[in-house]
Amino acid sequence: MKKVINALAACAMLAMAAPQTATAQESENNYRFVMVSHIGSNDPNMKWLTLSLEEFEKKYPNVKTEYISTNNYSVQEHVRLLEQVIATKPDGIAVPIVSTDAFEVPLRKAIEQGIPVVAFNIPDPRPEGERIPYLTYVGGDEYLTGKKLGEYALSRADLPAPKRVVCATHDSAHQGLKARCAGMKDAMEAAGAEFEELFISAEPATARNTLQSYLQANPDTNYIFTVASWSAPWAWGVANDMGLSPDVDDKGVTIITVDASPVALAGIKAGHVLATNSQGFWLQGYAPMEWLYWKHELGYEPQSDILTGPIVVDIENIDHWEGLVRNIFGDAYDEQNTW
Amino acid sequence: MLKSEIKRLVRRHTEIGILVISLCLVLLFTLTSEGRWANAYNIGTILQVTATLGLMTLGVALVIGTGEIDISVGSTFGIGALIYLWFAVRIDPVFAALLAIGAGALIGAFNGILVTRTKTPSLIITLGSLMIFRGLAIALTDGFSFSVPYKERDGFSYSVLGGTEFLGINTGFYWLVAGLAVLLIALKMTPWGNRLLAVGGSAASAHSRGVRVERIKLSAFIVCGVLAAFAGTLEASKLGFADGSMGRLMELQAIAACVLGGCVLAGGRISLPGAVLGAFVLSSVQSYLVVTGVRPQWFIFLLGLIVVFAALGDRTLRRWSLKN
Repeated sequence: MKKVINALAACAMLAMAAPQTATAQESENNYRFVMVSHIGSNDPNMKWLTLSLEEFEKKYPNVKTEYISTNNYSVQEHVRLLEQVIATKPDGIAVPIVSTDAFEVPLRKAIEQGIPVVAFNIPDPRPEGERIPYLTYVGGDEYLTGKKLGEYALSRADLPAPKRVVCATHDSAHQGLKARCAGMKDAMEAAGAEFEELFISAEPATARNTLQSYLQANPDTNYIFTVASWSAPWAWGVANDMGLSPDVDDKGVTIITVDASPVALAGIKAGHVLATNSQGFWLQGYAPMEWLYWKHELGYEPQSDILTGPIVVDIENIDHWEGLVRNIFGDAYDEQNTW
Repeated sequence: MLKSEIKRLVRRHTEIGILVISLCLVLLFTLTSEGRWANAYNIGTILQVTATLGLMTLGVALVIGTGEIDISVGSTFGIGALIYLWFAVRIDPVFAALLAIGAGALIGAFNGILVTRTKTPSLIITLGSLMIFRGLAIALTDGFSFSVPYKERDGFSYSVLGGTEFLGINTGFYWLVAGLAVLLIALKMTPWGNRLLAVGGSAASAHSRGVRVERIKLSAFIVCGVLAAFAGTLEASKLGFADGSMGRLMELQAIAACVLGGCVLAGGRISLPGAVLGAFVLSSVQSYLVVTGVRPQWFIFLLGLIVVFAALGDRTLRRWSLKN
């Protein structure tokens, strides 16, 4: 409830600040904001972020935005990129807190140097006062993402009751992915199911082999939660090859995934995936830039985190979401359908 | 007269080429990055990256000097980082570092014994150990990570092992300078150094003169493992974090740095300062691309292109020096 109130408060602040944007646009100050992301060009979600930055630049021509990212989910490389970006003394940084322990030193240094920081996509999970003193967090609640998707699966009476649920993760250090798994775990264990988290890696062949071994060793597994949408077809392919009936029906394995990406939506439409979520990726690119801008121009500091999701996407609302996402991805929508 | 003196200098010192390239790149990056590249903070970051990559590169250079190659150093780096961080929260970090270094020595010995006893090409053996120890790193962590909170990393032991800065430079860099000095002395002023290069120049000839070729090669692999694991320790101490992916692809950067620095892959001729400069060039190029906002899609491509041009530039300089 507190989170909902916080989100509403943040939205109210956004609405109150909106009339000020005309003033802000007339500013003669030039700014450079950098998004240092873990979402690289091998992840379709990058498109949401880069497109939202382009839109932001159209609205604020006096701001130059840059998108820097790792392509291999390496905290070691991500921290190095972050430090190099700090060295360029940008006017603002947006960064996901992939690992609190690894990111705390460089981010505190940046903040001490007067560079405003907004966390996006993954927050520092510690309570306020202990956490890295960034301006605000803009993104989904990863725990709620897992929990809501789990509860949605349980609410469907036409599906098999969960016996064993595996959460397949590709990034061992990603705090957000761990939180997604934790949310799913709480929902499923409350219904009496066994739950396990499995590291499959981001490399397709390794991921398939790992999943296949797991399913062979644990034949009672009947739900697979892939915490990235692009790994959902791998999970479906492995289960299908093993004859485990992975489509959405009253038998076999059921697959749940995340993100309103073309591959997740196409999976739902084809009956391969039960549900996914939207965590408002477009807003996660745009809103941090806007808050950084308002911090400089008007001194605004959000008083709470800004939640941009989750919303469950299933077969009922798939057509609506497909239209929206096609508008963002254009021709790339069909190219990214790997089913 | 001056021209012939310069040519003689280039011929005698293999690191001259990479030194010229480094200076040209530093000048280019300084002039074209509007102060984003050439500032104290960024240079400090580059030197930190150079420290860990450089230590690894020194070890690889020694193995290359014997006419062999070690492409498992990225995995050794990862194992070193994991062992260090797992123990650092349980015992004093200095002892944790010693355990990590010990593990590196064992991996080096594993590679060296297999290469020298079975006569299997070192490329094959170390390719296998690259996968074995990467797999072990992932298995040991069960796919997850070790970390130490920021507030618990303020002790002297963490600081001296790359966890903080001294005079604006990460303490890991001072370890690189010390490692370079020790190895230069060992290479230039001890019988071991002479024998190492003799083995790389011609193993048969060295053997005929009483050099125990297998023992020298084994020692080079062990030193290489020690340096890679120690580099991993310094990186883990700085980040307070280690996972199974630590050091991934660093083996290729280390080999590229050696080649850029004037090491001949066939063995017999290496330059340790050149190899460190090669590591500096790679770190600098990577940093330049980041600070100039190059899109991630082009990052690896441009880095590779610059490495190829730098290597060609070095080769051209050498050819010029050999012309009468």
